[in-house]
Amino acid sequence: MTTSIIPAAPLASKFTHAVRSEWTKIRTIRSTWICLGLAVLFAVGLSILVPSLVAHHWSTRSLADKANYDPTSLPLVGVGLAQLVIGVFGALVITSEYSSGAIRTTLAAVPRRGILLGAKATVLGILTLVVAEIITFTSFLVGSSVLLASGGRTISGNESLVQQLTSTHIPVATLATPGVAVAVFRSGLYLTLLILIVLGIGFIIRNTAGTIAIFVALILIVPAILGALPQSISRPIIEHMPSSLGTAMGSTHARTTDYAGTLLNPWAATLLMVVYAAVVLLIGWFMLNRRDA
Amino acid sequence: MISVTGLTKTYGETVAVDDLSFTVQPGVVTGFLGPNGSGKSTTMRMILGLDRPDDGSITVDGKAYRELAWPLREVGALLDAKALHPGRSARSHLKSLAESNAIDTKRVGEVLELVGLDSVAKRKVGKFSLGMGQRLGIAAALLGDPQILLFDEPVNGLDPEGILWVRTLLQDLAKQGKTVFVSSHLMSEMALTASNLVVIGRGKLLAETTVENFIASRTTPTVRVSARNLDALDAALRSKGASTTRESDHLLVTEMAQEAIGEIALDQAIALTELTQQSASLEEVFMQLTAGEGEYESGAVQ
Repeated sequence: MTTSIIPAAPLASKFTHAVRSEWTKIRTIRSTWICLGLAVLFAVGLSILVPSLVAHHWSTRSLADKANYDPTSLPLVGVGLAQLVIGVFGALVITSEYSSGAIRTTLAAVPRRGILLGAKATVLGILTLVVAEIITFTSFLVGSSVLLASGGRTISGNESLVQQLTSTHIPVATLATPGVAVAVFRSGLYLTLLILIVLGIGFIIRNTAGTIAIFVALILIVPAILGALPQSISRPIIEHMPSSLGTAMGSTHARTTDYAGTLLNPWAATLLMVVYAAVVLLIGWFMLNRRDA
Repeated sequence: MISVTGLTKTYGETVAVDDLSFTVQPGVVTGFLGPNGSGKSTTMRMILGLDRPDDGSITVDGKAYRELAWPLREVGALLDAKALHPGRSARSHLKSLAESNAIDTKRVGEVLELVGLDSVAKRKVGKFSLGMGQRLGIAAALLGDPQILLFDEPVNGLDPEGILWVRTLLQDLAKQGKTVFVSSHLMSEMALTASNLVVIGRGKLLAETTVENFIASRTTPTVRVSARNLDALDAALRSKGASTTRESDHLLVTEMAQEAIGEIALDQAIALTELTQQSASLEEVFMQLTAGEGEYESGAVQ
């Protein structure tokens, strides 16, 4: 009998090889590029459409309406649509392995569950971060250009809110406006943390339809149902839900909305999203370790 | 070497594997036989660390599967040929597996050629036939050139040429000193391929032996003989101590060797028209042994 000597492998080496493998897997599936392409298309498309409509009706809007306007968030409106496509993508990355049975091949190759989950989260996270920053910066630049082209005017350095609202021209932020560039970046970070939450849900649910249903409920349905409850009950919950955190992260300050009251401070919202993603992925890892594949 | 000790696995009320112990030795092909639902696939999944045993342990070359440094370089497995993403090409599938275990990606081209899939390497595996999928699964198992190989029903969906190829491949791998463990429900195929056997029924070990011993220890040597004057032959054989069973046009003789029967016939001047040693097939022995052990059994046609 011949025995080949397999060198011992430190965990770090196993992890980098698992990352390389997961990168090959994610980039060699067409649906990856379809989902990410659609996310960019939807986001940029909506960031052209909505700002042009808002700018068109600016002069006829009430002061209360104008008070709800946020020059950073409006050009990022497409992120709200992109998050749905991103979420479906995040679900498919793991649930397609379960539906096809490929997870068994994967786990036979990488039996350390923590390494597998970590490698998947790393690859999906980095790829999504890159694409999400392309989405948010392109949406912002396109959306703010549309506002300027529709009669908007760039906000000057230290302009008061009253000055902004009483102006007949819609105020437009640029990346140079204080706090705006980092808000646009955080918006991309939101999409990345969101997809990691969905990945964790996918590891727990293991089924495409179930994972997408929970994701859509979390983003759209639960906030809508809560919205029907008295504000004293609904607002504290809504402001801590991922979709509100996404809006908060894409703002320069703790702004007020009509559906969730005052949103969290942008960095507090970011921290809470990190905690959500970490908790869901930890539960996913725990269940992956315990359950039969 | 694979060592399975006291392995037990239950799913709810169903005991899939029940206190199962056996070892699989290097250098020979070991067949893993059992009726459908007897726990073969469950056992194989537990060897690969996919399902957790409720009790007992499994080691591959002395280690638990999850503790192997680079598992694909130590254990290659074909479990379910369709257990891969249908949208990925054969080459990308193998490349991702190679990368995960620090295997030189040059191996991908080599194993694709070895299994005869090099011409369809770029085609999506979802478009593969069952036989092509099976070949790809074998390529994946061989990718890391492991010392231990597990194949769950490897000839499923293969044409006769493919079946012959798998049979030769398994025997070649065993000749190289590798541990080859193959499950099948096709007894005739196992009889040609394997030299050792692990037989289970309802999750319990029924036999762990060589194919020859398995058949020999469970059958009585029988000779089939016929002659024009069957009555005279029958009487002559009985008078010399043989036990005979009279069938319509022949006798089944036990407790007497073929040669002795021939000599008695010559003495009595009876012309024989047939004298054949009956050997039971693995299939017959298997059916006899596992009668009542299958989870799903068909009744006789009324």
